[in-house]
Amino acid sequence: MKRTLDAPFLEIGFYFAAMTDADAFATVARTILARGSRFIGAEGWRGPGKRTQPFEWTHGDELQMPLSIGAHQLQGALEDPDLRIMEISFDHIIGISKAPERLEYHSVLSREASLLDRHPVGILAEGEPFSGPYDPDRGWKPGKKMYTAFRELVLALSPSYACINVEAATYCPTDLHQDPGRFADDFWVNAGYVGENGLAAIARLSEGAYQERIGDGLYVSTYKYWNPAKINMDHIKSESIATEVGKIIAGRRSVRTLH
Amino acid sequence: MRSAVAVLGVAALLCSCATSGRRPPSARREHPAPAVDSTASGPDDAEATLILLLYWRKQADEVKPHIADISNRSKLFGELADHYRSLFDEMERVQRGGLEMLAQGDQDRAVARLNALWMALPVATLQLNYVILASHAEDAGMVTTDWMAILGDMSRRTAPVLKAALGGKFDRHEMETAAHQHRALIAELEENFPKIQAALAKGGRWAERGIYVADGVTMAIAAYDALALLGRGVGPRLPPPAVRFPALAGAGGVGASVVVIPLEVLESLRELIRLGALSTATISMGLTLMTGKPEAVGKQRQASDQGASAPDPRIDGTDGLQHSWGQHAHEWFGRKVNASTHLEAWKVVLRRAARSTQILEWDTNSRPTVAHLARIEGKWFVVQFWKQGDKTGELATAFIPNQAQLGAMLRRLGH
Repeated sequence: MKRTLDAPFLEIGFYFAAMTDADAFATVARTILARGSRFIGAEGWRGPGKRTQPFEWTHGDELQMPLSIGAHQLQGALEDPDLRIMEISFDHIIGISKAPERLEYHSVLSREASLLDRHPVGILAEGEPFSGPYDPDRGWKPGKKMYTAFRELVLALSPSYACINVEAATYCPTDLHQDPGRFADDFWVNAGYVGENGLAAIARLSEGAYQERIGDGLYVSTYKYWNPAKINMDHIKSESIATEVGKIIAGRRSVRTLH
Repeated sequence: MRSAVAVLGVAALLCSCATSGRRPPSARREHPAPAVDSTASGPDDAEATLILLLYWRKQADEVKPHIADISNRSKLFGELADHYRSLFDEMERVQRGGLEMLAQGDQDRAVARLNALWMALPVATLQLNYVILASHAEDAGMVTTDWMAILGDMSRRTAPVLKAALGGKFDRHEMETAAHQHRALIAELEENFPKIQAALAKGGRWAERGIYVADGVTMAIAAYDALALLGRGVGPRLPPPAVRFPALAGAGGVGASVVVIPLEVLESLRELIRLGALSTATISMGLTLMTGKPEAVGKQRQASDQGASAPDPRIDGTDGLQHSWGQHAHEWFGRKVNASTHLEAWKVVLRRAARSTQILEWDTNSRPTVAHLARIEGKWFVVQFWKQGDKTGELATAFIPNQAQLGAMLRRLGH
């Protein structure tokens, strides 16, 4: 297996409003392990109190370093108060890549969000089947794997919301407040986060898209490879839906004390 | 609701020459360039004129298909689209007429038409950009009177130039006068277009489409500007120079690019300028539409990087820049790097790639993009700009493509 993922990336992001960044990251990591993935390696920062140290914004200057930890040490490392694990490689997570798939914090976070909000965590895999107009049949098989994995992860994790993108990040509510158009066209939203009324509003907004109740929330998909009904929505329409849902999510933002 | 043409009453203003019935120009009414020494018009001069007439057509053929980008969902722009088809038909007729006159040995009248065509094409392209933008703004809910005002202002500034060029007399003096009188007005129009485009896209979510009309005409302008290079030793035995030219009004995702001007075009320009047959006043109308001065691209790496150091609004400050930096910069540099030391270098890579003229339609999970494929420092690199939606024209992402993607891109580019 080669060492690094080829771009473009499929990026599945999870946002947990009621969990610290480090706890959210650890929860997702444990869930991935519980699904049968094998730990390959990790990168992060070491230092006093690093685990809960607030993030700088995206362009923060601290480089993450490879960590010398084995699989048997991972659980402890995830709780180590003097270690911030920034990235974990697994042999597979979704199982559509020729290189280890990764769990990491999403790369995009504004300075304001770094002070006021949680940082979404993301799973990265190779997204080549979902980029470019050539050989359209190549998207079906990995798309089905993606849908299956996404469904299982959402059921297990029950985050506040989750997004599926190619070459785009999942944004926290603070950053969505700046631009709700950043929200993904394919997403899952927890009723516990937006309320049943909010979820009903999202269902109405998403008329014409694939909709499926998964666990405590609603999955909306507008991309044919990522839903069993193979529904593909015109991009202008799907972007319009995403923007309106982004506004609903942004409305849930609040100033919090990190850690 | 009446059509855009009817509402504005601008059919005649945009260019009365294309849609109004008129007689074929009379040779006796023409005023050939006094500076042309007819006795000097040997076969070489005819060949130069022929090359430039053919080169003009090549550029026009790149612009004309974008008439289809005018949206008529509102039923207001159908006549305007027809108008532009007529305008291009008219220019093509003038070009064919020039070729016929050349075949008959009438060099002066052929060159008069060449002057007119080179003057008209950049202006027609700028008009087309505005109309495409207005048509999509109307679709997206912009108040009709607002875009009417924008188009009205545009036609007021540009129509006299088109009329002077294509009005039928092919009078060099009239063309030069129009160029002098309206150059400043058109320059303002050029400056305003990106601002209007940005305001529509970000403020009102009106602009749904990127406008990529001006590739061909930009190259043409660069060819003319390449005249400046002639004094630097361009000759039959030397390779054709590459010219980097700045963004043209309405060029959307095109931006600054590097093109290689065919040597025969440069030679033809030099010959006709030397004879005084080509009017520098009229051909420089195209240069009015550029935001800066084209420059020769040397082989020095430094010169290339210098050009890429200026901020590019399509890249700087975008989500795509942040995302590509976070996810892909380390792939390029071969290791994790600091923003303080490498972010600017990353931007330079993106800007250089954005200048590539290897442009193709692409997508990312079905969302359309315009991709620029580049070869930088021995590595393939692709930058993509959103083609639709609120972020039209902005950087979507940038990365080193894998073999499957690269192969597919090269095939689409005809390699």
